[in-house]
Amino acid sequence: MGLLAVAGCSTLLVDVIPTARADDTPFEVRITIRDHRFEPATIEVPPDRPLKLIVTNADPTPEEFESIGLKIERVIPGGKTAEFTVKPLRPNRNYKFFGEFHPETAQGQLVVKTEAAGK
Amino acid sequence: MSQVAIMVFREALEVVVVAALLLAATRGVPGRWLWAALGAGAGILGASVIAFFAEQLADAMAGSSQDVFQAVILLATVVLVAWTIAWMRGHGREIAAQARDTGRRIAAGTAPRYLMATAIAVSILRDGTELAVFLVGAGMANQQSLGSVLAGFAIGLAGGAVVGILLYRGVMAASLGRVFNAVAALLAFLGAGLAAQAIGILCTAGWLPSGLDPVWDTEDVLSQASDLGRFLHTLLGYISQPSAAQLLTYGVTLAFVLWLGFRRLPPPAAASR
Repeated sequence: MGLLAVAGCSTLLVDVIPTARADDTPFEVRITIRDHRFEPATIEVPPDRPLKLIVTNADPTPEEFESIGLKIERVIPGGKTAEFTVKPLRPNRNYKFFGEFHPETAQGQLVVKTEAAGK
Repeated sequence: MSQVAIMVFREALEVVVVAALLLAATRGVPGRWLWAALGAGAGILGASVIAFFAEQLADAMAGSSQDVFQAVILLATVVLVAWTIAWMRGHGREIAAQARDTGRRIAAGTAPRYLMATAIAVSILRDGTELAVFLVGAGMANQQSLGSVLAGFAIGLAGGAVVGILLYRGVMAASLGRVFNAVAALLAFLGAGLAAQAIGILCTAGWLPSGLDPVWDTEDVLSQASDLGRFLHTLLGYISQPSAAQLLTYGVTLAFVLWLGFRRLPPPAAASR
């Protein structure tokens, strides 16, 4: 009986805490800013897994990496790399990002696929 | 030039809204213009120093410590705004009485000017750093002459100043006795927005659970990156894709600051002094 209760509890916990169920090693995404554009501009990422965005600014000028949906906003000086930890995203959504200093060209998005091919 | 002007205007707008509302809220406090100017000076100095070391800082804070730094700055602004309101609510009556009698200036009115000055400094530190880095980049890019960068800077700053003056005058033109109430309400929304933004940053970085995210999505209707979206974001805390944690933070902060600004005070101790 006690054992059953413990088993029940742990199932409940696992159900309640999504990270315990999902793979919680960060999925790495590398983005390069070159000539005020993102390479790649569209990136497929898996859902329910934290992300690590590694954004390298290969331009000599600074850029501000911003995303409304991700709630990120950070200046990256020319030639520097910034890392962002991002919590697991919801499936079947697009998360746009842009370079605030050059918004006419620097536009990109993360596409969260239900079954993105993991690396 | 136009891109420079737009960037300067946007960044100046946030500072200007905070400064205009705080100056209106601290009406009657002696020396508030001087202290606002000192706060602005300190903020500009701080932002310039940070911008100068931007590259070193980018290396030192490559990870999420920069997110924490941003969030702390935002929350510090909220605390300073709330504190100013609480103080003005408690001592507004005395200060108004002294303002009428300009000969008498006593220490009662000095605390909020330090709070206000610090809030302005912190606000400039946040937005000014970004701007300084951008301007150095614009100057470096060689596509634009120093003259056109400076002209864009002047135009953007002038635009920001005009909005600030209009906001300040508009709020002050509201019937005299109600100025504080109007400003306290606006600052409550502004503070709630800043707090929600800070929580959003901490949630994304995984420091706090966000709950359902987003609860709604109006980015396609009114983009937070558009000029109107930005203005509403600054003034009222408009977020196009808020998470549950952000909504909760917004509601709690709004209620708390409104309470600070409109709380019932004990009846004045029969004409103190």
